[in-house]
Parts: sequence; structure tokens; C-alpha cells
Amino acid sequence: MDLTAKAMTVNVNKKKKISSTRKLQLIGGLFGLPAIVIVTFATIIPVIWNVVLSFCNWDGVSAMSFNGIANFTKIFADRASMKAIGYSLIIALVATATAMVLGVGLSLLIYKVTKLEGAIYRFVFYSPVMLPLSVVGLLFTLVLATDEGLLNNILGLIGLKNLQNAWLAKKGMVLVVIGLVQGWRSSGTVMMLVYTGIIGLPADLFESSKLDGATYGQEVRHIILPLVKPTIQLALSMCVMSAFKTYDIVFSMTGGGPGDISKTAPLKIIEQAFMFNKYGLAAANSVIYAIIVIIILAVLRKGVGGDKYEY
Amino acid sequence: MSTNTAAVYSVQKKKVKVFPIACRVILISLILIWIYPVLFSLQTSFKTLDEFFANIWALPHTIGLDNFAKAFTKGHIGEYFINSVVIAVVSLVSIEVISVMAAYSLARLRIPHTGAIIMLCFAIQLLPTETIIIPLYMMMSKLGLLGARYLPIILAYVGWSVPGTTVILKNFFDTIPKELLEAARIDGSGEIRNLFKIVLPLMKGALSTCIVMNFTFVWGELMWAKTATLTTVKGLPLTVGLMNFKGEFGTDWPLMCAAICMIVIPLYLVFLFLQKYFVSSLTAGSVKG
Repeated sequence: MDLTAKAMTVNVNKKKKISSTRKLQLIGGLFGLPAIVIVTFATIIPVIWNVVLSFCNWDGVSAMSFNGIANFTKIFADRASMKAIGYSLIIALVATATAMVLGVGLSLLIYKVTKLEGAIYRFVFYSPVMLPLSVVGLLFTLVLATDEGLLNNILGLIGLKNLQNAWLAKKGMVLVVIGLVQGWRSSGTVMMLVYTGIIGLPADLFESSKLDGATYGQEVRHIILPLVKPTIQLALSMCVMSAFKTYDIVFSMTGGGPGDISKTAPLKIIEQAFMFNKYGLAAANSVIYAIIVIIILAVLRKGVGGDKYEY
Repeated sequence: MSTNTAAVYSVQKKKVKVFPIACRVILISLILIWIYPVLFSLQTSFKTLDEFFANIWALPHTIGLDNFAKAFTKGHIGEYFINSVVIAVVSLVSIEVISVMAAYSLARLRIPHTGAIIMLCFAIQLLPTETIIIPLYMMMSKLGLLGARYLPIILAYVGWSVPGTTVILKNFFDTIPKELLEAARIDGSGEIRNLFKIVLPLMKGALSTCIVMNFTFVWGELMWAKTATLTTVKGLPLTVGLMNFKGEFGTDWPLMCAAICMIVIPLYLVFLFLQKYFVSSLTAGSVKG
């Protein structure tokens, strides 16, 4: 009798617990509902529809018709589209390299100065990161303009007239210049990440190397860089991700011109969709672009991995 | 032999003394590269067009605010600014409220498959926006949302920012002890009360970090804002407006500089006071990367 009563209370307790979990889950579902609705509307449905659209022929007005992989073969055969993707890759490569070299270099230099000084340097070097890319682009059209641009005028002033250039109007050059500007802006991110990584290293590591008479260069090569490698890797993938967003900066600096010489993939995709109403083609182009970006990110994550040190 | 080592030693010592100076020389010259463009455009913004073409280095004759006034009225910078503020405020409030609720339910309300949901959020973050905007534009146009002022832009920003923000906030919620909530529940406190009265006050820092991170995105986004306002001239945000401005007054550099300064200087001031949160938004954002 006593036993059964005990068993019953245990059972009731269990039931109570289950029902309270259920209740919490129900509330949880309600709390999550707005997020689910808005994310489904603004990203999940569009992404799926984009893939569907890439296999269809559609001008936006008449009915959609399925046409298999014709869009993809068309993109691969179309020189202008492939060139656009190539331009994006060049800009992303230059931007990433610039950002990494500048960012790591700056963080190593700032680590060596006093605290207050360092705070000022960090403020200045990080500040472009919060400026919108389009504003950065606009600022640099002023710097890089051929006749009244700041850079050409400075070069003229210090007697290097032969280095003056039409920075934003020469084939090839324009891509490198845009990449440099984008990398200049992102270098602050790398600097900040790597700097936080370095000051997180235990101080006694440096004490023993100082006793051995190591120079800062040796310290950097043998202690700092190997130990902050995971941070550098993280900064690298963040840089690559932002470096492929080539719409804003290109649009504000050159608008894809002059002619087509800086028309990157995002600009091409938007042109195909909203100027020529070839929505299927544009969707296929964007799918190809996304796959390339994701493959590069995956390769980077696998390839740059390597050994990590415990400390 | 001993003199030799002494010589090596003194060379090394000298090197050590040279290094801090070299270091500062490099840093200060780089600082010039970083801020000179902004200072130059500030200087130019006070000049007239004739003054600028006569000598681009000369200081302005008078500190006139004509260019600023002109950019404000003729260039509609003021109007764009207000549009951007409306878009940013509505987007940020929606993003934070929606994400806080979602993150709370993921972290503390025993939702199943949390891991899979987080993975999905990561995956969404990785996708380039180019794969979203074409169908999203068609959906909005079918639903007749494109004519509405601000709405298409805000909806997209909220939808794109919620996954990343939710993941970051969930990580912060995980650090809040479960016992605190259990105790409150036993006292009969409801979940909404728990969230707003107990958990949120503990998360001011995390929330500010997320707000700053989302603000940088919402304030600077151009591609979708431009696409969504292709058919209208109402409710243009600052980024799109600035591009139109460039198209209209592209060769009037002093005027352009005034417009640039009107955007850049307030941002620098905001940054000066909130730098802490900008930096923490970077490291928090890196969780998703």
C-alpha cells in the first residue's frame, strides 16, 4: 500500500516534469516563431527559389519554363560572365592579401608601443571598418581621380610625375586598385583580431626568450606567429568572406566601367536580372558564384589548418 | 674574441634602440595615409569649385558652409539621412527583439535539435547575398511590397541579420546559470517576465555588441537597398542616395566632399564613444565565421 502510493507520487512527479518541459517547449516555439517566419521569408524561400529559377527560363512577365542546365552551359560559354567572375576573384585575392599583410604587420608594430599610443593607433587603423563601403569608395574616387585626384597631385608635387596614372581607367590596374582599397578597409579587422590574439599570449613565454637574447624579429617568427595562427586563420576566412562582396565598393568607385573593365560578378548578375530581365540566367550565374565562394572558403579552412600549438 | 662579442652586443643594443623609433615612424606615416583623405575632403568641402580647381592644396578663403547647405537641400542628403535613420532604428529594434526571443528559446526553453538549428544559421551566414536578391525582389513585387516606403529594405535586413545575431546571443544566454531561471519559475514567474526582468539586464553588454554589429551592416548596405528602390525615388537610404548624388554632381568635388563629411564625421564620433562595442562585435561576430 505504502509502496504503491510512493510509486504513484513518483509517477505524478515525472508527469509533471514532462508536462512542464512540454509547456516550456511550446513557449519556446512561440518565442522562436517570429524569427522562423522572417528568416524563412527573407532567406530560405529565396535561396530555394533561386536554385529552381536557375534551371528555368523566365523574363519576369510570361510563364516560367523549365530548360534544364541550359542556363549553366550558357554562363560557362559566355565570355563576359566568366570574365566578371574572374574580376571578382582578382579583387578578392588582392583585397585579402592586402588586408592580411597590413593587418598582421600593424598588429605586430602596435604590440611594441606603449599602451596609450597603441590605443590611438588602433582607433585610427580600425576606423575605416565602420565606414560603409560605398562611402569608402566615394572617398577614394576623390583620391584616385586622374586630373584632380589627391594621389596624382601628390606624385606631381614630389616630382614623380612619371608615376602618375589613370588609376581607375586602365584595364587590370583598376581591379588591383579596387582590391587595394577594399583590403585597406578590412585591414583594421585583421589588425584588431591578431592584436587581441597577441596580447592574450602568456607573458612568461616572452620572458624566457628575452633572457636568451632573442630579437623582436625572432620572437615574431618563432613565438608570436605560430601561436596566433588560429586567430590569423580566422581573420583570413573573415577577410575572404567580405572580399567577395564586390558590389558596393565597385559600384561606388567605377560602376563597373569604364566600359566593362571592372564589371564584377555581382554587378553582372544584377545587370542580367534587372536590366535584361533574364532572371533564370542571372540566378544560374549567382549559383555558380556562390559555389565558387563556398569552395574557396572550404579549401582555405582545410588547407591553412595545419598544426596548432598548445600553451 | 671578447671585443668581438662586445661589438656584437653593442650592435644589438643599438638595433634595439633604433627599433622603437622606426616602429613609430612607420606607424605615424601610415596614420597619415589613414586619415589624410578624410582631412583633405573636410578641407575641400569648405571651398568653392573655382577655388578647388585653382589650387587643390590651398586652404579655403572663408569657412563657408555653402556646400553643406547645398548638399543638404539640393542633394537631399538630409532627406536620405532621415530615411536611413528610420530604416536603421526599425530594423535594429526588430532584429534585437526577434533574435533575443529566438536565442532565449534555443538556449533555455528545451527546444529539440538546437545543434541543427545553429548549423543552419551558420550556413545562411555563408551564402553570398547575390543568391537571395533576385527571388526576394520577385516575391516582394508579387506581394506588392515594393511600392511601400522602407518596408522591403527593412524586411530583408531583419531576415538576413536574425540568424547570426541569434547565434551570438544564444552563446551569451548559455552563460547565464540555469538555476536562476528555475528559481524564478518555481516562484511562478512567466517566461516573458523571466526574459525581460531577469535575463536581459544581465546581457546589456552582449546586446550592445549585437546592436553595433547590425548597425554597421544596416547603415552601410548598398546592393539590396539599390535593388529594392529601383522603381521608386521615395525612401532612399543614404547609401543609395549618395550614389545618385554622385551621378548628379559627380564633378563638383567640393560638394561631394561636403556630402562625404556629413556622413563620415558623425560616424567617427559614434565610433569614438562606442569603440569598445565595435571591437567586441568583431570578436563576437567571429564566432560565426
